[in-house]
Amino acid sequence: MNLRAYVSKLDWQKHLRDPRTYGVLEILSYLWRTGPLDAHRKAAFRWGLQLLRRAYRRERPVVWTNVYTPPELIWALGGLPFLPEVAAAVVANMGRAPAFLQAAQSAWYSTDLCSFHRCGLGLALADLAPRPDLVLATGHLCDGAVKFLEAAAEFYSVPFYVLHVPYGGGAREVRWLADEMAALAAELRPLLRTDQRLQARVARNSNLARQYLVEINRLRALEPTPWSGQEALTYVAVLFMALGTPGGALFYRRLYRALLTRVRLNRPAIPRQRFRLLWLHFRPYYPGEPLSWLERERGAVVAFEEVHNVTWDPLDPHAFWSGLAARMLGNPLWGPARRRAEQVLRLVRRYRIDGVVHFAHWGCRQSNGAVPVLQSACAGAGVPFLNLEGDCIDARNAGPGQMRTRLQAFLEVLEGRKSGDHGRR
Amino acid sequence: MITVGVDIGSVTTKAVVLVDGEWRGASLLATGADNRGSAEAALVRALAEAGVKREEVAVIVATGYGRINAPFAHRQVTEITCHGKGCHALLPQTRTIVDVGGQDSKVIRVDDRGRVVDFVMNDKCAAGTGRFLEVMARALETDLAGMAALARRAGTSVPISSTCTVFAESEVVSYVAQGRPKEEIIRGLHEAIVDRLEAMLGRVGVEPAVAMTGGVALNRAIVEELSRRLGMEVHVPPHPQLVGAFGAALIACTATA
Repeated sequence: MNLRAYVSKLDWQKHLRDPRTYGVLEILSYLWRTGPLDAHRKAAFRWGLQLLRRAYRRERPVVWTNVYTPPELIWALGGLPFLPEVAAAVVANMGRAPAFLQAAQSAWYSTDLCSFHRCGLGLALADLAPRPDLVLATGHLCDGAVKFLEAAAEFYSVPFYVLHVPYGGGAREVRWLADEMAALAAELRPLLRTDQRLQARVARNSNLARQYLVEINRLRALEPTPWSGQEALTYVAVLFMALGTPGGALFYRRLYRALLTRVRLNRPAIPRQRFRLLWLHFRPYYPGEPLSWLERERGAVVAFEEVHNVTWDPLDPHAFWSGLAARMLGNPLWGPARRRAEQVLRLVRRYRIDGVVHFAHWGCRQSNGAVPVLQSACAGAGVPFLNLEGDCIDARNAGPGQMRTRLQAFLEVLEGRKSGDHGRR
Repeated sequence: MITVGVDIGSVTTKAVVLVDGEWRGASLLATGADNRGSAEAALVRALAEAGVKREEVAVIVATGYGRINAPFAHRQVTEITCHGKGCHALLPQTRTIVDVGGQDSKVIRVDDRGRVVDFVMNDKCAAGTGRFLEVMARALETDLAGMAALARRAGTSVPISSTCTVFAESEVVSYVAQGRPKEEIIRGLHEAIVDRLEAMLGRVGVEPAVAMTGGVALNRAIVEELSRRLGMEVHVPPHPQLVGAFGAALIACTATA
């Protein structure tokens, strides 16, 4: 039997759930020869494999959560975080999302809702993802995530917890949220078999990663930028899951070195960078998405995106919960839209941005609801703004030709401004 | 210098030939299922009308949603930029352009040199476009040319969804079943289109003068309703369907082959 025939006969679903699959892939990853320019990719890949191997082996309790929960919270409690939203992006990247979206739709999950959640629920219904021991959602930013995670907890018949996050960002709110997290930790400790000393280690790893991320962001301000937006918005998964782990710190150290090497060798992410864009929200993850076309073929590089902006202070192991609470409340996407708009304008100046693109992901109330304020702030500052409607997961929900026309027309506007001596901010 | 602009739209393909910036010939034909074939045919016809040989053409710019299907073009430019350039050349006082084509509608703001400053396009649904009117004309057993006259005859209108073409069609069928006069239904359809255009205009802001391009600009009832809502005249250039191709040909004048 040849290899192709053998592979086609494999029971993929069974192998996906088998921790040995990830062990074998991890061993095979040693054959992946990387240099200083791409060692970070291997670090992220291997970290992901290790997480999946441990989760499917049920080495530690698996905690399903959403992307706005700081991963340090789960790591400090001794759990293994699993983010169905990230899994949905991976599935979409493999071109497999429609089947899971369809499954969620059959289970009364409306097509009007976010496809990250629909696809995540489809994965749960197919029982492909590592089964959770408990589900933890944060109520801030995305209410859809809370509802979807509640449905997942019900499906798996596991406990469901919600962190209620106050709207303001003052000292009183930080104290309130920190107390809530400490109480939750006390409640979960017996279930998660955690050790209090973990907190110090998690804080140390998180701070190390943060330190490299600050340096990475400094390099991204250079012209030409050494990191593409397409890659940056792929590795947001590391930010959402690996902060607080040695693997996360290793990834950011290697990434920093890769970008530094690119700068020193004058090998930018995109060879000919005509325009520098600021990308708001996530990107489409399915094959044939428009961002790679925009960067590689049109030379419009996403110099920065708001996800990687470091807006939090290093974690103090002695005030661990307060640090995490301050970080959650300090997220510029939480609270009044004006706060997010102010951050956008700061990023425009810092990264010398020519134009801002907000990716209006279908069904995303929390990001799309801020568009009028963002548009108005950009218009007031004389920064071209494009609201690009599409879908991060479901390719069928966005016409590629329509998206390219909008993006190309936006670049033509930027071109016109440059030729008209509008100058750069 | 001879330049050509070819606009491959969802419903029609247009070509305009310029000789030293002067309009010499044009063509307009149905796009059909073969984008490349219709682009080639439009080019050949426009050249024949202009009395120009193909080898004499210096630069060809393709635009429209099918612009990537014109292998003979030296450059592809979006219809947004082309409509801005073309409309500004025909009506230089224009600062806001409403273009309603077969499958999409857009509002474009231009500066005093015809450069696009801002734009918005309709979302995925064809509601508010030429296709919307076509579907409704079929449902009402009338033709596109006669719709404007019927709408102008109506004393009142029925409310119709401006969100989705298919939903709107089912509403039309319901009104027909209720025995509502065809004129009132058609006027309601026109108002639904203008509702969408008005919302899009609000997003980019209205700066006078306002002009309308695209095939739907030939419908006087739409233009009049839009003028009434805006409280200002909406100008329509000659041959509004050809404005994109004309703009492409103008851009070709400044491009190199």
